Amino acid sequence: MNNLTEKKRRILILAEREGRKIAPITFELLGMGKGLSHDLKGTLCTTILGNEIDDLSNEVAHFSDEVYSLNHVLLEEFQVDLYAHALEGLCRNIFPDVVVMGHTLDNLDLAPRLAYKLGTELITDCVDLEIEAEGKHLLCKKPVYSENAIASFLIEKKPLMATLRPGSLRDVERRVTKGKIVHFHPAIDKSLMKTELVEKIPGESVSLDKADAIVAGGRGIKSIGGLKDLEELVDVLKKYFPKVELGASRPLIDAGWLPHSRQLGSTGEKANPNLYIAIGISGAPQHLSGILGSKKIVAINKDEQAPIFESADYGVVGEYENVIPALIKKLRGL
Amino acid sequence: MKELKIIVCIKEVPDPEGPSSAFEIDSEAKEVIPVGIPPVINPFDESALEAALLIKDNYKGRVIAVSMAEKTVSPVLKKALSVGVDELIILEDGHYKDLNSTSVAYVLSAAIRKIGGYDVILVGRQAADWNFGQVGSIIAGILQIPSISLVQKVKIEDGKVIAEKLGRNGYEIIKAPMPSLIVVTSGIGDLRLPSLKDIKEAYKRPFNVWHLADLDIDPQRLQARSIYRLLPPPSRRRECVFIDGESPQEKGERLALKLQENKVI
Repeated sequence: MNNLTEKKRRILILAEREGRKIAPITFELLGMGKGLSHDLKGTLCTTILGNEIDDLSNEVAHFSDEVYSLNHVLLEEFQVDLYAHALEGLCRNIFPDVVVMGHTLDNLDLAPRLAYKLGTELITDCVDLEIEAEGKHLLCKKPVYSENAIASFLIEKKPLMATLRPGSLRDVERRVTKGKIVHFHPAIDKSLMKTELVEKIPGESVSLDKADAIVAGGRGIKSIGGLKDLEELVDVLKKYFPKVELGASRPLIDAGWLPHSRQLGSTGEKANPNLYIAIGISGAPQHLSGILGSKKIVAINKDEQAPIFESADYGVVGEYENVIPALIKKLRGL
Repeated sequence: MKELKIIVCIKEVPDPEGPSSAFEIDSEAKEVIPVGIPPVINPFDESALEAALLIKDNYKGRVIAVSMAEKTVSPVLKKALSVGVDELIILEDGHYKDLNSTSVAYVLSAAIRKIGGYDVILVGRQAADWNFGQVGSIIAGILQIPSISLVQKVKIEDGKVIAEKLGRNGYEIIKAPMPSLIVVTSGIGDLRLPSLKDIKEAYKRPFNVWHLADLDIDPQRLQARSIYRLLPPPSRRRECVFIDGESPQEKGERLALKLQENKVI
């Protein structure tokens, strides 16, 4: 991305689907894209991939100047070789200046492949894209060194590619009018697929980002049985909050006690509940990055030196096995 | 079945478990300077190592670990030899300072081509220092081989790679021919612990060092990361109200009352 002052720019956003629905991250991307296209006096373009997606293309058109609808029976399910090839074809036709997609599990693989195919550079896991002071360059801002520093990168190549971390909380307004919809035929076939999907094993579907309260456990929970206390606390909190969920930091997920969809942090989910109760969680920056949007944070940890207390609103130093049952009992009685 | 040749890419990083105060930021030099924390093998690369060793446990295989840096600290990487890696190759050269992901993948691919005859390449999902998480996917692109991302379990069956790929809700079982590249996420299990004897023996074992001139690389193609600015993270600090009590039970009860009093619940 060289001099921004040159000409009309094209900002391309990749819409995300969750089956037959537009995934929430899409609207965050569109919010960011809208700001960028305004600042750069550019065109906000969205592309969506899938099978029979006219309704979805129509919907994103309310948020974009142009929609590139890539409709193909083979694009029904995400398959990285096909998606990368289809998007490469689109980019080689419309020459976007900026390509932004969500930092989602699928795109962890898709984005670098596409960047490599297009011979450009990609900055992953960005928390913001901003124009530097002189107004000439777009900077990609991302946390590095386990969230202990924030680096801004300046990419000279075109298109500038970035993945945006979910939870940037930008809102976007739905316009009454619609942008132009272009049906772009992806030149793909089965021979491009280098891997084969044998089976999809569905897991528990959890939306931590929609929870009003979260009770989360970490390394301090010594056995899978210890989760019982946490589950009971989740139950009793339902008295106060419509949607309460059980979450965890990475060690409990790696141990296989809870599914990945319940992991909070930089390699998991980001949540903004009214109440977050961290139990036996030391508070590493990688975990905190997923929960700092919480209105109130309660930390329960036997180690008074644990960094979690520096980022908590309420702290209890003590063994969770003794603290939690008393807390539950009292909450029941209130 | 013939002996499998398994290549694992590993990287040294400052221990990401270190306290925040251990990461000093030099905004002038745009560098993070680790203070008082040791270098370790990147945790996701340890998962990749464990995945390689699990394959070796079950099939006849030879595991080769490759690590690239401007300058390496070999005792850290010798941990790989102590847990069962058969050969360690260190790619070291002054040209490798601060390279971007594409260039890192380019150098690693050149080394992998030089090793040759590989069946499986394993790479960690992302490094704990710059957190880019794209080298694996780019290597697969350069070598034009299939790749499976975010793998939490992998095995070889009838000459094919069968892997569990993590999804947002659940996982997928994916099959790929060999050679393939596997990007490993956590969940594979911690890297096994070496015995004291293994550690001592590994310390004495030789390793190969390949410089830029040993590989088929055009130095002109190596590009540095383009950092414009490096700053400390925004403050994560809140004022913590500690709940006192004679016993943990009393603290638990008082916490409930405090939350009610302050209308948190």
